[in-house]
Amino acid sequence: MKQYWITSLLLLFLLPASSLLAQQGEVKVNLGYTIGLPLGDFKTNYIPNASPRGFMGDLSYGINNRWAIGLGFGYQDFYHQYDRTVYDLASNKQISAVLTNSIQTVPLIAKVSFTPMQGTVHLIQPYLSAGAGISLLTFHQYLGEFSADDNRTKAKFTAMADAGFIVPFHKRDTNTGFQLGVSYNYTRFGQPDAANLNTVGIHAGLVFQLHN
Amino acid sequence: MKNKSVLITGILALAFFVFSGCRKEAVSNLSDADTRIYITQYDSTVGFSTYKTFSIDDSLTVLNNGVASRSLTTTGQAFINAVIKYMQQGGYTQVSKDAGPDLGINLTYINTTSTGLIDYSSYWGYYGGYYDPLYWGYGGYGYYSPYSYGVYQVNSGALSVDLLDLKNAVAKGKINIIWNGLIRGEGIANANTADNQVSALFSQSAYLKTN
Repeated sequence: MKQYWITSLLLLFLLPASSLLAQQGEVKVNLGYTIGLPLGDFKTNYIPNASPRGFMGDLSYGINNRWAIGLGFGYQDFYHQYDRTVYDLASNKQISAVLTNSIQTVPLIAKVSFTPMQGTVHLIQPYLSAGAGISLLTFHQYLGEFSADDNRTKAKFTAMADAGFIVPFHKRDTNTGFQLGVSYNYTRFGQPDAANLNTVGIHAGLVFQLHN
Repeated sequence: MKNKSVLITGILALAFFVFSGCRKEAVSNLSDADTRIYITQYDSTVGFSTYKTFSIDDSLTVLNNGVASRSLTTTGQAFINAVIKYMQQGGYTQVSKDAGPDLGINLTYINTTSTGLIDYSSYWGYYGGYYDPLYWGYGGYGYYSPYSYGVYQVNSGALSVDLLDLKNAVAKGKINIIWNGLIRGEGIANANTADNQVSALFSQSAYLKTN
């Protein structure tokens, strides 16, 4: 069994160079719709619900059949309104308010993608990708209709890992198809009760070749 | 050709998400009641159970863009009645201002038509200027408040309820403001909701009681 796995991995990584280079120089675009699911402290203290308002995309350049590098971008809008609650502003100062959190992220990242079956005729083409960069993060917190002092958009470090598959529209053209994936996204948030903005993104969209 | 049509479809889809309001408006869906915030603060060195009686000003002071005037409307009376009600629920006894009340209560409606930022600490700074301490029988005394408010964007009115320490005014040589309740938001000046609004201030100030 162990030998089988080793052999499989060797076959995967040591395909003939002619096949490997078939995708070299190809530029592909991926555009999709994203649902963002908050995790951890971000979920507990800021946004308990999933956000159905997002999109993502990337522009990639094929190094060879399996590896591509590129630029990724996206947008996700998180929003939650808490019922009226009394909060302590200080030990002798309380405020009762409907609290609303409104957070938008616009990640701009450098990515690397690995598609082990690219160029083959498989119906499903799995992929893995990872990237890092900055996210333009805008955070508005409202007490009633009043916004807090600091609402500026800030650039924060962000990183992501993504896994999924592409279903090509045509058996012999694996460069165009439907893509479905799940990503883990980390963005520095820097709030006292949520250091990081961690989310899982479920995305679906189209991938197509832009240039060969 | 096929790729071009896919590209156009993708770009249109992206444009749809960008321009079709994929950011949820944060506060536009709030009712008037939900726009309102209720801020209370108190002097933590004071024991509120040491006070037993209070008197309340029979009119509201209206601060209109910094200009003070006196007013008593149906709405103002509704707020005064509500404050009396919740003070009495806390065990305090209402007396006339000439009967030496332990506490004096002022209600102030702050109206501003300007937009921008206002620091409510300036409200306290002007307190003595627009509210004559002689009303409470302490002419020449200054007001003192240990509080200050943060900076908020202003485009609506505010109602402030102040509890003044008259009991210790002579000993301290000043009139300390020992509790303040501030209501801010939309639709404050409404006689029908005055009781609910004042109730919110008192319900988050459980220490306001005589025992």
